[in-house]
Amino acid sequence: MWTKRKFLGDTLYLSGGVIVATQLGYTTLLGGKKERKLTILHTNDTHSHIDPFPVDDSKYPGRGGVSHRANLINNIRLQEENVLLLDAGDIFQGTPYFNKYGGVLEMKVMKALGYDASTMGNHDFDGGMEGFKTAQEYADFSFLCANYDFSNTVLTGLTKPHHIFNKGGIKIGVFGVGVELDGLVPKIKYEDTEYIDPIAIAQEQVEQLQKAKCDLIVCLSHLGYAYDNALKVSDYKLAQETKGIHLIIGGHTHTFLSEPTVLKNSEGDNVLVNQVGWAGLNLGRIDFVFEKGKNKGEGQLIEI
Amino acid sequence: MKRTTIYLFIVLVGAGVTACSSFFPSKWNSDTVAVENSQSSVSAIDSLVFPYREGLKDEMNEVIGYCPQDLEKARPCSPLNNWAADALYFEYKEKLDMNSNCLVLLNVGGLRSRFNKGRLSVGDIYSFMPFDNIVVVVRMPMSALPDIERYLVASGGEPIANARLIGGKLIFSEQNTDADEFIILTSDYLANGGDKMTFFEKSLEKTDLGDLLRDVFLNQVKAQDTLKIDNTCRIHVD
Repeated sequence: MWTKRKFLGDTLYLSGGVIVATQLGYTTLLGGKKERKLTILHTNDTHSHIDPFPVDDSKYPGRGGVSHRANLINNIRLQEENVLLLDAGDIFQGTPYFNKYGGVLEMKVMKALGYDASTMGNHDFDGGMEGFKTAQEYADFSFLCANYDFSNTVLTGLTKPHHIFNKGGIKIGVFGVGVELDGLVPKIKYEDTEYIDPIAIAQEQVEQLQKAKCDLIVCLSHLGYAYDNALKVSDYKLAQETKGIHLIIGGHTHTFLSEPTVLKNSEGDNVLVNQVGWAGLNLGRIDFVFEKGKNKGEGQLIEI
Repeated sequence: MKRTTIYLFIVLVGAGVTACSSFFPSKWNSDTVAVENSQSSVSAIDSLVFPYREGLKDEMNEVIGYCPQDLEKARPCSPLNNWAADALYFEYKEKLDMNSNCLVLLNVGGLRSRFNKGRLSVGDIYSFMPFDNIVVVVRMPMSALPDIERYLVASGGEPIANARLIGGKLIFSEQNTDADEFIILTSDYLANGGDKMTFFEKSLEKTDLGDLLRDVFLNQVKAQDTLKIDNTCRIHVD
């Protein structure tokens, strides 16, 4: 390895070497490191908050709004080459935009903002199965739901368990898990959707994504951050009782985290869990630096 | 020059081979960015939203009442919890002849926003109660009362009216100790076991009143003009 690095270093003195390096997409080749960078942007529980809160709001004056979120995202896209934009569900319900237009505007906006994928939250069933189907026709990104079986509903074939993205040579496997609907969503809304235990499904998804040689595995979760009832499945439990997940982007509990919580998975490796409140008040951002080769276990995923 | 070409060739081949091998994430960094109106807006998004916003404007901006103080939902209790439950009580106490052994029960999770001090618009009530829930009256056997008391203690409190929870026991405003049943006014969502209110399985009869909960709130804001606020706490779990 050292010889090759040295060799590359020498070559850079020659004309054309730098151009070759740039074209190959190395960010820090001159330092001798073959690192790549990925920026993950995320939201959760935006709840139809298209407009900012009023300027005289007692708690969040002037905060949020899709146009200002678009501006932030556009600026980051100008600075970063590899960006993935994700949402952890509960896109619907919370303002008259949903009551009057059934979620169509939310989908059009997410498409315009360039979302890459989302999972479904419990409130995304509020318009019923037909309501979601109608609104979803305006989206151009995938809905990832690994633990809802929609076979006996009109949503069959319209969602998928996971999607693999390729950003600048990095393969990112993203899968989605949702909360138990019974007792939370009226049966008339979710009809014959079958909920499956998310932890077992998550492990299956990880194995499939590892087989597909994904470099990073991300879970979009609408399970909720953590609960007093230790038996209730949450992002905490999901992180600790599985292996292979690098990042869980959560929702449902409207939890404001200023930075991701770092937990140990069942093999003692670090898992990041993040959630950024609700109503589009915040945009979450996590940057990953990738190194070439296989992680032999000596290096944990560490904060810079 | 020839040497250079060979070097370059080897570099390209070498880089090509390594580009096929995998990567692993070694380091991370994070930032939670506040979305604020000090940031610029994006005209393409504004034009996408504009017709939808205009379509809502006239109906949602209509001012229908006044809120005398900032109100927020809370557990075990809050003036906003009281207001919401009272709205149902005021709307139906005469229509349903709600006397003894009657209570209104809602859930904190179902109240979806706060009221700021000042003018209240139709849009504020939509934000507060976005769901199309329907008001339901439920006849319950007295034997189910302990289940409700346990639920309220475990949840840490929910909005109630015409009753109080004292030391974990429900006391109706007007108590009839001889009766073997009582009445709950609630939403269809809760009456059907939403928010794990499984005690409704013991109901003797459920009657759908056909009114949207949101319409009841809209009516009550209009009727009260300045909201009637009760600052007392109705939930004492211990």
